[in-house]
Amino acid sequence: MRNFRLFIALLVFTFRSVSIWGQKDKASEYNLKAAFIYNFTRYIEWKEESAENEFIIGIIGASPINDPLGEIVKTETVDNKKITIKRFSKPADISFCHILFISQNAGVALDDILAKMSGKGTLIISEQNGYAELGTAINFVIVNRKLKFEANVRAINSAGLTASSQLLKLAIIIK
Amino acid sequence: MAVFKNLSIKNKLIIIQTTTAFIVVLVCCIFFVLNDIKTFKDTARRKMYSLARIVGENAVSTLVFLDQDAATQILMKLNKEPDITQAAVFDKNGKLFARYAREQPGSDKDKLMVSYKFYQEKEFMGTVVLHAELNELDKIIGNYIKVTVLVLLAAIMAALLLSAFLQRSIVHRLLKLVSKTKEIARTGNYALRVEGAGNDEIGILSDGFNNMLEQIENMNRFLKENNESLKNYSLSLERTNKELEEFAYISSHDMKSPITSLIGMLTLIQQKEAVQPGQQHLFELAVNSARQMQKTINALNEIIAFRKTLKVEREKINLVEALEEVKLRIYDMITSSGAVIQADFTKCRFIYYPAVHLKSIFQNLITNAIKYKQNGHPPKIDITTNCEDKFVVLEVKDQGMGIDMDLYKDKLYGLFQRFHTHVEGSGIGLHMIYSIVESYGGKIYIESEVNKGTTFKIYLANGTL
Repeated sequence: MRNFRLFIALLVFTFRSVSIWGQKDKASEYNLKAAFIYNFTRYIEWKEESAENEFIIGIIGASPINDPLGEIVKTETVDNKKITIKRFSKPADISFCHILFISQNAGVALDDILAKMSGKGTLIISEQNGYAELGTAINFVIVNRKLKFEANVRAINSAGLTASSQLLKLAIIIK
Repeated sequence: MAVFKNLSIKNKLIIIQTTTAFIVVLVCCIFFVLNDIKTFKDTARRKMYSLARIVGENAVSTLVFLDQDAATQILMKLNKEPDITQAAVFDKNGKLFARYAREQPGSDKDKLMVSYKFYQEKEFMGTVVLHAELNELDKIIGNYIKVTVLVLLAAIMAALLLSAFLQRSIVHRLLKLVSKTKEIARTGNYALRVEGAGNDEIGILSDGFNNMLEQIENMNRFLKENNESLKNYSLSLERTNKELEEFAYISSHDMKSPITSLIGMLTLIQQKEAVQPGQQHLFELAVNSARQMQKTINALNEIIAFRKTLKVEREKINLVEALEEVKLRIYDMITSSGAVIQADFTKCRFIYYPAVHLKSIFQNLITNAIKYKQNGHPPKIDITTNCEDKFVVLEVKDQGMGIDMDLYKDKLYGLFQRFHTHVEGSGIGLHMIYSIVESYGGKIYIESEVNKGTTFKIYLANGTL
């Protein structure tokens, strides 16, 4: 927990530079995205998956988020479960995970992923404009140089998950 | 306070009761108002605190996702609360995260500030701070003041009515006592009494008053009786005195002609040379005794005649003129003795005194001074006056033979007292001066030294016309 505190402090610091956003600073953008992904876990009601005793975050495609997310995973838990990161390169490889992050650089047809993961209780997070309309649960966007996120409530619900109102009130809701 | 002291007891009682009621009600009102204000503030604070808690719980996710706009929007919802002037969310580092201000801060009347720290899973996330203005409080205090004034007025009215009713039992009876006192002072009738006493302090006062009246009445009666008997006694004394005076007058008067005829007879016998030559000596002794007796009887007559003149009216007398008249009367005596009389009346020229008596005093003093001169020296007499308060001090100084004060001090003013037997005298002069001076309330002081002289200092009570 102590480390997390430090981390958040660091986050707030970076957030300020993000808000300035002088030149595209990919590293701080992904630091923030990693922190957001971890924080989403607190505002989603997860399905009771009997067998699982760890919380799995899947990443498809290579992404700068790897490192910061790896840092968080070392110390934090979700519902007292350890967090594991699984990396996939093509939709066929994807196994069960609680969160699936689709990297910009995935180069995979979104439809394939959606078809594969539908109804499995996976929160699909993307970072490309228009993806939420296409069916991902949450989609990171940059608005006024700030990191925001879109939420597709129907997609969240059809995955069998429930998003907290506290989360939805901060999201750009996509119908 | 001096004003209060002079008020009647009735008004004092009313003021005391009204003031007491006023103070009691005022204290109660102040207590209740302060208590209510405190309760109001506490309630307001609790309300603010729950608002802060709700805001805080809602702001957690905005902090987590660094969404300042969302946090500001949450705070904006507080604009439905008219009391809240400012609201702010601080992150866990104390940095301002979002802020809402309804009006410019500055007026700090009845400011209320609450802060609420919010947590997520025991993790400190930030603080909500609310500033509020107690707008309602002014209205409430205004209402309280109105109510308090009304209650105070009602209390004063009630106290006035009640005291007007209650004071009758005290003041009415006191007034009765006062009017009785006035009546007694006016009529002098000490037989009056105060009725309907009772057992309280006023009752004791009335009883004491009645007792005092009784004592005064008794004393009055006793004094009247005593006075009556004293008057009777003095009347009988006066009568006896008059009878005695009458007796003295008659006897001295009746003795006058027998002694005159006796002396006449003795003279005839001597002229007829009827005395045996060997018995001449005895005969002369008899003649001397008879003359002595005649002198005494004459002096007695003079005294009695003088006593009848006492209590004569006073008049304004010029002292110089009075002295001149006396000097004329005894002209022969003055010239034959060669007496020198020096008078200085510059300090006090006039006196209000019975003229006969003043002249008598002058005459007796001067004749005494001439009679009792030192052998071989013509008498020298100094007369001066002085004004002292209500007295004219007459000082007569001679250089005569003087009186041995050690021997005769107590006998100076006695009738027929004589201190120098070798000189012709009847022994009534000083007695007469003393009688006059004393009868008008004056005093005589004598300083004398044998063979040096005598100084008479006579305080004549100066009357006014």
